[in-house]
Parts: sequence; structure tokens; C-alpha cells
Amino acid sequence: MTILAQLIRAEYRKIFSTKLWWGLLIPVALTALLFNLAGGGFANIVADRPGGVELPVAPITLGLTMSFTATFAAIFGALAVSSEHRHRTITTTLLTGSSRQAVLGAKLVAHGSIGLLYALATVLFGALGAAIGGDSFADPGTFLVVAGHGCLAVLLWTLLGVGVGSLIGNQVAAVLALVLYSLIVDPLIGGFLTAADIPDVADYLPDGASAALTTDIAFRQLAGSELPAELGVGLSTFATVPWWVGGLLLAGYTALLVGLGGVAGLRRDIT
Amino acid sequence: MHDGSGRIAVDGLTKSFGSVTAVTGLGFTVEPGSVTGFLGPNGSGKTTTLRMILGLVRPDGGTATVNGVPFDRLGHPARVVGAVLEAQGFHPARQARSHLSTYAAAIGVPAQRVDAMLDLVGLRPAATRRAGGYSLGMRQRLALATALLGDPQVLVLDEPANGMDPEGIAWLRAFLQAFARSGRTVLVASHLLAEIEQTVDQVVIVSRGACVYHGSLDELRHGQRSRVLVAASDSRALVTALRARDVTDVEQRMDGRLAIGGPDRWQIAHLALEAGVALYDLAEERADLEQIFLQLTSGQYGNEGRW
Repeated sequence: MTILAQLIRAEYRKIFSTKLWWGLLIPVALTALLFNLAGGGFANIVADRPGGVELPVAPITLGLTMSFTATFAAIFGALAVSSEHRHRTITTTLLTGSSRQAVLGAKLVAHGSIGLLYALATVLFGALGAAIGGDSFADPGTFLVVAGHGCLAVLLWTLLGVGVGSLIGNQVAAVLALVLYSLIVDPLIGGFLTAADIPDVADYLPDGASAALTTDIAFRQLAGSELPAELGVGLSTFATVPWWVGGLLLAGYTALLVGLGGVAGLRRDIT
Repeated sequence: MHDGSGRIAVDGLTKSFGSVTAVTGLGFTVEPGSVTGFLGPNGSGKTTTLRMILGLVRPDGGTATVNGVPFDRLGHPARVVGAVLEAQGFHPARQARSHLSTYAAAIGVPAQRVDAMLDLVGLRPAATRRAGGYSLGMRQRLALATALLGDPQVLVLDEPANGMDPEGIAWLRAFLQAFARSGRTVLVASHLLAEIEQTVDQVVIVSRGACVYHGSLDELRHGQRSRVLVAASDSRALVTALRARDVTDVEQRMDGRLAIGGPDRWQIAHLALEAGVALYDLAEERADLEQIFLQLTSGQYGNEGRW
């Protein structure tokens, strides 16, 4: 146990002795602030119209920013192992660690906590932005639920990123794999499935599961509110799985990739 | 953690990378209390062997142990073995002190140890500089400081003098010898015999992934037959006189001198006097370790000047 604590402390020193962690925190905080600010402003415009209604936009914008944060957190996680290969510090890390499993475990703990920090910053700056932009919280309970689920999703994505980085090893390839999957592969598969009339399956993919966990509840609340007719579009499709199934699915993908990354890291020759 | 013997034992070690065989059935032991050189030309499997000893590369066959156990079962590996390897890196944006603090935390040694190691290798004034701005020699010293953080019993180094200035090399030589004299183990790999000749007591020489010599440097030196180098006014007449005394081990060297095996300098001087040949130079050939090394590792280079 003490050895693991030592390795975790070493991982924190690695993280805080370079600029990456706050370099990624800046876009995370800025996006949360500005996106939620814009959402709040939009809600204000709608409310100020004659016969306007109070739109609960903040939970939605927070949920969407959380998925953005998740991407950054996953990239941060992916660099945990792969940047050590890139700079060849992995040799020293393995020479000073009791085992490769312990080193990976320490990285999961340290990087996971930084992922949570990103999620908390998203909540903080998101709430700030939404509050400045206008009154769009409606029911603060939903906002807090989205915040809590979002934190869990971001944590899982960070750990998933650590697994991918350990599995692939190459820094550029690991980051590209994560970004390309989220931007291209997952939407493409979703599109194909919808075209093939089996859209429900997309909810079982990592991004779909993550959305079911994080944003679905906010969209459902918005749909349940009295919407002006011209805004009540595009809200007919909801996740077909409950949020907790989405969470379990995402946790499953994370466990799978961390497991694969662990096995690959264990077998890899450091030359 | 200085409970074990400090012995490195390699037995039947084999490793291939794809179709390239790096090491085949390599076996040797490295004893504490001495500096052991690990010699071989580039690509002879030295680095791969060191990395298998350190648990970084998985052998296809055979075993490598430190203190009698494989590296991954040492528990606190950095307190037993310190290593300076060639492809060992530093994050370019990380300060040297942060680098050392990181690994001091991983090993579980106090922060004072970081400053002590910075002082030892003379990097204290450059401690807050980024490792990316370090020269090759400074990187080697930082790597050594990292290796010594855990006060290890065994030190493994791969081409440690690479990029070091003469002062640094002299310092390293003295340090390694003192380290070994304190009863600890030093294994230092190099492809240049001359570089470590003055440092090592024992040598393990590898060629094409297999061990070709394992023993003391002195034995290797004395194993070489000694010859006498002679510059004569009339080489032909001297050779004829030598043949008459059944001395046939005579070699004409590029520099015009004869290398004669068998008789000593006095006997040759007498022979030359009897044959009426004047001698301008008469010297014992110094056992040329570099040549022995080259003969052992490839053979084709061993015939310089032999007609």
C-alpha cells in the first residue's frame, strides 16, 4: 500500500511539473463558461418574448460541455503512459516502480483525479456562465444531477484514455485514436445504424452510453416543459437505455480498455 | 535493501526481435566488489541483455537475476539496482530537480537525497534548468544521479561516458571504482575497450549475442603471447639467422619492423650480433587489448600487417 502511495505521489509530481494539466484546463473552463453563457442568453431571449417561457437550458448546455470536457480528459489520460514512451521516461518509471501493474494503477488514480478536477471546473464555470447569461436553471436539482453524472462520465473517460494510451503506446496514435473515434467513427456507426433502422444500438456505443448517462435527463426535462411550438423540434429522440445502464456500459468499456492497456503494458518490451 | 549478494546472474538468455536474433544462450555472472566491463561491438546484444536484466525486455528463454531473484520480484527495485541506460530520457520541459523529486517520491527517499545527488554529480547549479536544455554529458550525469537516488547495491550502466568531457570521464572512472570498492556491484557496457580499460577489473565480451570471453582483464592480457619488435638493418639476414635457430614465428609489420615470437630481447640481440645485423630498435610488444578484443569479437580485423 505504501509503495502504491509513493507511486501515486510520483505521478502527481510528473503531472504538476509540466504545463499540460493547466494547458488543458484552460479550454475546458473557457468552453464551459462561454457555452453556458450563450445558453443562458438564449433562454433570456426566449423568456423575454411575449408569452415567453422559462427554458431549462442550463442542464443541457452543462451536459454538452461535459462531453467536450470528457474528450479533453480522455486525451489527458491517454498521455499518462504514451508521453512516457515519447520522452523515454518510461524506462526510469519502470525501474523505480515495484511492478508495471502498480505503475498503471498509480497513473489511473492520479490522472483520474485530474479528470475529476476538469469536471468540477466544468460545473463551476458552467454554473457561472449560466448564471451570468440569464436564469436558465429552472430546476436546480436537474442541473446538479447532470453535474454529478457528468463528473462520473468524465472520470470514466479519463481512465479509458489511460487504458488507450497504455494499449497503443504511441502518443500521437493514442490521441488520434480517441479524437477520431469520437469525431468520426462513433457518429458514422450511429448514422449507419439509424439508416439500417436499428438506431437503438448507438446507445450501446461509448459516446451513446455517455450521452445516456449525462445529457439525456436534461433533454427529457426540456421536452417535458411547455415549449413554444417553434422550438419543439428535434427533441423526439431520447436514449433508449436509462442513465444507469449508460453509466454501466461506459464503465464496462473503460474496464475493457484499461484491462487491455494493462496486458499490453505488461507484455511490451521497452527497448 | 542491501540484504542480497549483489550478484547479477545471467543464464541461457535468449531474445529475438522478429527475425533478428539479439542474444543467444548468453550466460555470465557479475560479482560484487569489482567493476565488470560488458564489451562487444555495436549490435552484439549488450543493450538488450542489460534491459533483460532490468526487466524492461522479456527474454524468449533463460533467466536473468539480481540478488537471486528476477527484477520484477525485487519489490523495491530502485533500492537494489540503479541503471543508466542509453535510451533513457527526460521530459524536456521538466526541471532536473523536478525529475529527481519525481523519482525520489516513487522510490520513497527523502527530498534531501535529491540535493545530495545533484551535488554528487555537480548539477546543483543547473538544478532548476529544464532537462531539454542539457548537453549530452549533463544528461548522463542526471541519469546517474537518478540511478543513485535509491542508494542501490548494484549499478548498471550502458555507455555512460557517451558525451562526457574528459574531466567527467575521469570523475566517473574514480566514482565507479570507489563504488565497487565499497562492496557493491558495477556492470558497465561499452563498445570501446579503451574507454573502460582503465576502469574495469573483470570483462564479459560478447559477439553476435553470445559470450566469447568472461574473466579478468589481466588474464586476457597475459593470454596473449608476447613478441619482440625489432628494426634491423637487414631484415632478410636476421630472418635467415632466426630460421637457423628454429624461430619461425616472425611477422613483417607495416612499419618495417619484425615481430618475433619465442626468443627474448637478449637472445635476439645476440643472434643479430652473430649474423652481423645492426639493430636500431628492440622492444617488447605491449599486449594490445584492443587487438585481442577485435580478434575475439570478429577475427577479420585481427590480421593487420600480417603478410
